Amino acid sequence: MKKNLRWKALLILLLTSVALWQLHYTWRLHRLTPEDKRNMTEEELARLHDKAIHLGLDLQGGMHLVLQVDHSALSEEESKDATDRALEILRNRIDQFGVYEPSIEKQGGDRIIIQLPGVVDRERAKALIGKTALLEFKIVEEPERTNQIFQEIDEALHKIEVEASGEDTLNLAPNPFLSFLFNFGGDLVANNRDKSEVEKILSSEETKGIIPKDLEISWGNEVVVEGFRYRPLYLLKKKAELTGAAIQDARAGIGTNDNPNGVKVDLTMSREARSLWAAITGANVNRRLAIVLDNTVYSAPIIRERIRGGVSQIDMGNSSISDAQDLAIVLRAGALPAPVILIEERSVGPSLGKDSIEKGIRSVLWGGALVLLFMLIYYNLSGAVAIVALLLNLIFLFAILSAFRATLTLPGIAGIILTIGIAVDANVLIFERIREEIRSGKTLRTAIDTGYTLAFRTILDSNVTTLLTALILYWFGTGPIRGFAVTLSIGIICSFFTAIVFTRLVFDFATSRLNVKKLRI
Amino acid sequence: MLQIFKKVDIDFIGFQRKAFLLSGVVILVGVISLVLHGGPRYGIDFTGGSLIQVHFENPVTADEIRSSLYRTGLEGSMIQRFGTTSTVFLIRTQAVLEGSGSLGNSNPLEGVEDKGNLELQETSSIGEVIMEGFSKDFPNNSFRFDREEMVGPRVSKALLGRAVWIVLGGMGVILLYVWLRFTIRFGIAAVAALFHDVLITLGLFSILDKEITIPIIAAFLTIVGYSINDSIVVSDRIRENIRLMRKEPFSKIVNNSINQTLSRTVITGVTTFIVLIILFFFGGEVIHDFSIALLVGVVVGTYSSIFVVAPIVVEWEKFSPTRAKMLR
Repeated sequence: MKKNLRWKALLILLLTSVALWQLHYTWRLHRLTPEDKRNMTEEELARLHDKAIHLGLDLQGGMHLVLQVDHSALSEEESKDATDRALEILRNRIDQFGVYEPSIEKQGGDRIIIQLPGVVDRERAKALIGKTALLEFKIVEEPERTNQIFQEIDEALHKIEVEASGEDTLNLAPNPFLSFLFNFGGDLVANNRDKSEVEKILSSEETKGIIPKDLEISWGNEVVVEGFRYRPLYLLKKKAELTGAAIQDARAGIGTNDNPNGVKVDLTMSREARSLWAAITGANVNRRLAIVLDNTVYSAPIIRERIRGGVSQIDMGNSSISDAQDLAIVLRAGALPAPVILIEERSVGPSLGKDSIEKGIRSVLWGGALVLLFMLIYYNLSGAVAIVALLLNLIFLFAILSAFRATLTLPGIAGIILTIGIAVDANVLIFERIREEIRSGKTLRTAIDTGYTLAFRTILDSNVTTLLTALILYWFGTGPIRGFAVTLSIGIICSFFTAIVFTRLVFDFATSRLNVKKLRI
Repeated sequence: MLQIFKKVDIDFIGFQRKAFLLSGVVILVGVISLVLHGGPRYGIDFTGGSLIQVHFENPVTADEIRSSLYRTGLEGSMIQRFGTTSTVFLIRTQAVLEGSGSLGNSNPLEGVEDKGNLELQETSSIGEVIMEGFSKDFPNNSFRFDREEMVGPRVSKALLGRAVWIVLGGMGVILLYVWLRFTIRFGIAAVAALFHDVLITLGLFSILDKEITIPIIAAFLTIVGYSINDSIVVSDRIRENIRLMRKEPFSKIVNNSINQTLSRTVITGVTTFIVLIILFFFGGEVIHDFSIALLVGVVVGTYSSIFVVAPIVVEWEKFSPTRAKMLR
């Protein structure tokens, strides 16, 4: 018996020191001043971060995004690895955006979960991630032909309206379609307000047949003139002469051909695409070439001569330089194989995260302190033993959390608080049982023995059922809720050990070594 | 030795009728509230929509925010002051923008009326729409978004399904475990108590007009875990006493078991309650509702282990005695 006791004590001592060693990383990281961080190499800091307790996005701030890859426009063959390719490209973009420890994973067949800790400009990050970035170079149809086709659409619509209204044609506008459009600097433009109206006309059954199969209509980027917003309308060849796959490098800059302050992205083609580019531009001298990004025409310059160097430029107009930089990033990383749709977002700002963790820790401390006080008053010295058990429980819990790289979330802190309740319950069950046995006149040793034996079964049953519910929560839950399930499960297992094994050891030690005859319980 | 109960002998089983009546009334009130509200009030997790927590530098009123949102075409939004100062507000809207602005016109903004004031199609999220409106309407007040949540309709439907599975699955597993460790009737009595607890909490949330969100579902499952804890402690004692008190009537054994475990039940209930009260006051606004659910759950869970589980087992025993079987 005595030997046994020594081994148990040694085991607990060993486990406690391992746990404390594991926790010292978190302590060290917490104590680092910004200056210390500058003096450390990136590798050292990363290692420290890795070994310290990981905080969830709700505690350190950041973005949680769920994207769905839209397979609807893809063939079966393309659809097969579209999600994987999209994931790879998104990873490239995020790497260039510069986020510390991003997490990008696939969920199911067509979803991608992205977690970006500590991102402050969330709208910018979303725009960067969501851009399909399909870059195409398309020839603009000759103006005469364009005018002719638009005229035909106009006439067709007019005819339908006349037929519908019968005799009374006086009140009808003579140009139902062309009245939306007017000439501006060589482009046909429409007021932005009329955009949806124009789209309705162009997608109607009557006009569909008029536009030839090899042509398509695209909107250009918005232009602002004297406070009014306009959009040019282009008739383009459907077939792209070249796509973004030809782009080797993209850099943001300032100063375009017609505006020294204009924001631009300079494109450099890959070696293979250069000759193709020269051939295309050579064959279309004096025609206009549209630079189309995600179905919007950014610019449509006239080709003056054959371009040999494999360079081109996207005119960004009045956009900010950071927009141009982001576009350069997505063009370098490549286009997504299919559009992605943001279907879920959970983002927390850094100040709310900091606030949450402070309040969380404060409630753990206060709640813990009050419970400890109660135990001390109600159970006296035995209560003190339970307190030490509870502290051990928390040490083990945090050590396991950091050792398994589990993430601590706000619900996770709630799980810890619940763990305190469960751990205390185990000791209450035991102590009440021992009291009963003492009252029924048993000796201290037997009272402790029976107390533990009888309480053990109850604690086991109640802990197993709580553990089962926690496992179900983990199985079905997502994100922060999993954090709750994790801390609760680890907490229950730790409490089973500390509340039963550790306190028993202390009582056994007291009765057998110190010869205590009367227990203060 | 400090003791709450010196020597107790309360006739809990005698309270049975009154207890059933009390539970019935409380559940009924909750159910009526649920019916009047047309079901539980689900948060955006289960309905889809957007939630934004905005923090202003200087105080503003909910009406000012409402009129700004009206101008941006989000007039159906709910605005709620968050905490005690007039600088932090929660904005909830059913509107979602699935997708991203650069995807262009392929993603219309669902549920938002375009009043022509803002280029809705051009923006990448509800957050950005609101942000633009606020910068225009509160030019002398800086603000930041502390929280931005968006749940698309396909996600929210799946989440609701999952939530139901979580609660039912949790109860199912517990029924199975208690059946294996005790007998089927303890299992059924325990699960009846769980339904009782969850139903009362759900009803109270409806009365208080609080939202059911994913953290609240987690709270429900925690209530389930806590309540079953209490039920097991009592059941365990009953099983033990059946061996010790072979001559006593069954209802007396149950009553004695409740009395013997009473001090433990109360102490654990009180300590857990203390911890949760702290969480309620110091835990921050984000887990406020979560702690309310748990507070209710602890009280109801403690009550149900004494006044729901035990009477069911007693009544069932009267109906068909199986004492011998429980001794296995």
